Amino acid sequence: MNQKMILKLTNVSRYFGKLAAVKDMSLEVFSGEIFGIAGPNGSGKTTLINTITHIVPSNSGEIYFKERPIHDLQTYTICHLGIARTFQNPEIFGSMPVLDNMMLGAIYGMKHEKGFKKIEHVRTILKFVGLEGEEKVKAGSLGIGPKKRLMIAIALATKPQILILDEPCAGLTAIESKEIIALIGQLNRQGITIMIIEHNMKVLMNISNRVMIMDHGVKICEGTPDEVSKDPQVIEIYLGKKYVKREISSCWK
Amino acid sequence: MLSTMLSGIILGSVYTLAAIGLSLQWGVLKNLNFSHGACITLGAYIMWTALGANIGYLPALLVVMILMFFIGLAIERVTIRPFFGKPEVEANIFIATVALSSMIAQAILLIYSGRDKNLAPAIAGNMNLGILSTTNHQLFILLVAPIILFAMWLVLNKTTIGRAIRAVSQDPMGAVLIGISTKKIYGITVGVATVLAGISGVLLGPIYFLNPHMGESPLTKAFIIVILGGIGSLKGTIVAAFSVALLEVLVGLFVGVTWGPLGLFAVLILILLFRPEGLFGAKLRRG
Amino acid sequence: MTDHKLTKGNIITYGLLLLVMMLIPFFIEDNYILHLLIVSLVWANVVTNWNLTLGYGGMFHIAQPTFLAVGAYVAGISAVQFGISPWICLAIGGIGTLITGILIGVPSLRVKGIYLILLTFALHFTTSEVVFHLKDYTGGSMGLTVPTFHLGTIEFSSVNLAPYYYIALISLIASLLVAKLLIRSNIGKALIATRDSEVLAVSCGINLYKFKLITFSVAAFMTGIVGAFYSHYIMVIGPELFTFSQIVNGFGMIVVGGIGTFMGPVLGSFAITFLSELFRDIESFRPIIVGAIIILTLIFAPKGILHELEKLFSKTRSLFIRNPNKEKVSP
Repeated sequence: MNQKMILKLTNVSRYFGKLAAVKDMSLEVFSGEIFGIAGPNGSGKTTLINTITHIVPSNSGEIYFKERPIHDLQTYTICHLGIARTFQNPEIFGSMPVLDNMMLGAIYGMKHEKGFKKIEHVRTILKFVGLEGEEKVKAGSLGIGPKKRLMIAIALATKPQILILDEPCAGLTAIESKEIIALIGQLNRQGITIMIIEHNMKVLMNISNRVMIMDHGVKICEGTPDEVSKDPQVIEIYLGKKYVKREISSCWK
Repeated sequence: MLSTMLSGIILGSVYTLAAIGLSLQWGVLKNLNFSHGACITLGAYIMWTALGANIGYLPALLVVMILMFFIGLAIERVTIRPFFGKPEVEANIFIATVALSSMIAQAILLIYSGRDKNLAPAIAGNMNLGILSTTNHQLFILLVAPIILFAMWLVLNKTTIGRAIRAVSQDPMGAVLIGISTKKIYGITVGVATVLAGISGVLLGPIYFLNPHMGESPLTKAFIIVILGGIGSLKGTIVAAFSVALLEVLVGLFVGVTWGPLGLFAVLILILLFRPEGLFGAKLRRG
Repeated sequence: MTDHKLTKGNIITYGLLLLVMMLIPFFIEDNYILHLLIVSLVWANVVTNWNLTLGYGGMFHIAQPTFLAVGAYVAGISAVQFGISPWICLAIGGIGTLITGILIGVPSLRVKGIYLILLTFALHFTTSEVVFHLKDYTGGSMGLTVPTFHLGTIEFSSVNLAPYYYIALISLIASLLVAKLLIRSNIGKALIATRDSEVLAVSCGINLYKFKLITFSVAAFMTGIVGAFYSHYIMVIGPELFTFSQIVNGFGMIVVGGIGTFMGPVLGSFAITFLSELFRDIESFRPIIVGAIIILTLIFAPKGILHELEKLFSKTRSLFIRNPNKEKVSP
């Protein structure tokens, strides 16, 4: 497959004191795919995202977005280039109404688009994530499900080319999770590359084109969901040594 | 020149004591106590009163330490604890402790009058060590400071309370889960830090004159040291403290003592412009 | 009313207030009271700008009172040493303070907030040192005598305070307008958003540093202008402008009025200034009293004492109106 590469990491590391949260991470994400990231708690998934978006700068290694080095750029510049992300805990501008939240994303995030009809753009997104009618509601008073959808909406308001989602289903009911996953699928079909961290392996394997597993800051395995689910190291991490010899690929279906 | 270096080292020792207290508070409370400077002043004045009562140097020092501990507990109770768990905690603690420092300074002014006072040193007199000449008090500082630092290290690393303090500073939630009373730890931390501030005041007093605002300038320097040295890094704090002190005496020697604050200010701005992660932070990629 | 929502009721209230303030010199001839009002107007200006950066912008610092003093001295020195007209000195004071603000803001707003606090503490100590050092220009501890304004036949003197009053009032209104414009602009919204979630703000493209620097600089400039005015009004300035108690007083005004509210600090300024005069006999206890008020207010009335009074007022009002949904019947 001759796909264009949209995000590339080469030997990226991030240390906290002596502890390597991310160590020598190299990966490539192709334009238009859904790239899943999984790993036990504390494996460094969120730190990885933080280094890509420069919330936490990397200590070494290179990060490229469409051939352009971004490891030395500030977070807001990275947003302008077309990378958006959501957070594990619902981060929204709680003291403002929903519409203002979105407009901030639209006004400040769309530096690469000028003279765009921002209000229309924002309303379309609100409808898409199912928050139509909630424009005047104070964002802080929303429930966790709507908050997470608002977070995605704000990210979308910046018109990203790649959307990085950090555990979008965390804290949601099964129904809400299904809705979010459907949303993500739709976004991908519209052309947005997705990078998704998710704890729920079943969900992750179902939606991703390719998956990477991390543990203790290091990449354990990378490939299609099928390939990864058969990898003995992965099985060991998740289920323990005694399952390694068993064929359990059927678990992931 | 050599005597200047020596005074730099001695000053550095005192700054280290003041800075460790601040660093400890920041690590545990995640907030700065701006009344720390007033506590330095307070320590010196309490010592002056205690010495005036003729009870001997070491008993007076003990009195200062005990009083400062309880004052620290009170400070935590009044200007820090009420704001935890409520919105704008940092803003409130910032303003409250600044207000408190002014209250303490004014109270000192009213009780003791604004006129500069002399604080008697531990041991009076001068000492001639060949090419160096120094006062006995300065040698006393060189002796006492490392002892106190070592005692601090012992407490933090070898006692239960010390471990509890480190636990709260690393993970307050976790600490609660294992049964540590964070409120008690906050109080003890501020208490200990205030004792250190008081001791710094006692040691600094004989070098400069006592006046109600004497603690403010050491406070600014303690801030700089804590920021440059990094939180929780004892080594970093010590190195930063000596660097600041040496810089201060060298600027004083070459440019004139009175240009000290301006020189410090200029250096601060330059450091922030070119190396904001401090002298010891890993060189981070910036935008 | 301490909030920044602009409703019809608010416009009427502000309009009435403005009218009252403009008419005061016609009704009050007592210079003592006029002086207090002028000082209140000056400090209302200072704390409005301080609140803009601290309350709305989330930048913790103690620079504002120092900016007032810097503006006063820059203007004073320009007038005394270089013979520049006091009117032009207003602008010079503003610009000098702007430069100081940029000097502080550029290195420290890009990094963690503690650096700004540190640098403003350092500024506080440095400026008084500089005043003592350059005593040939500043008069050192003896102070500096500054000439006052001249305009046609208007009398500007210590017995005719009305012209000064109007300048101070206009200056305050200017600061309030600038602050309001900034808050309601995209810059203001970005700053308020940052207080809710800094990490989200940067992730959706907000260049925090730029907006903080703009806000901080604007606040410095406006404060410098009123500082310049103050020196030409009071006509003798000295290092007491740089004392720490000014900082605590300023905090008192903001806290009593309500941090982050729009008109709160203005009202706080009048409250603290007049109360201080009322208790002038115990002047030496002032820092202690104001400090205690600050701490108590922060603990028990964090939105400001005036907010609590407003609540009390609306509670008592509802006691008398049985059915607030019904049309009001004329008495």
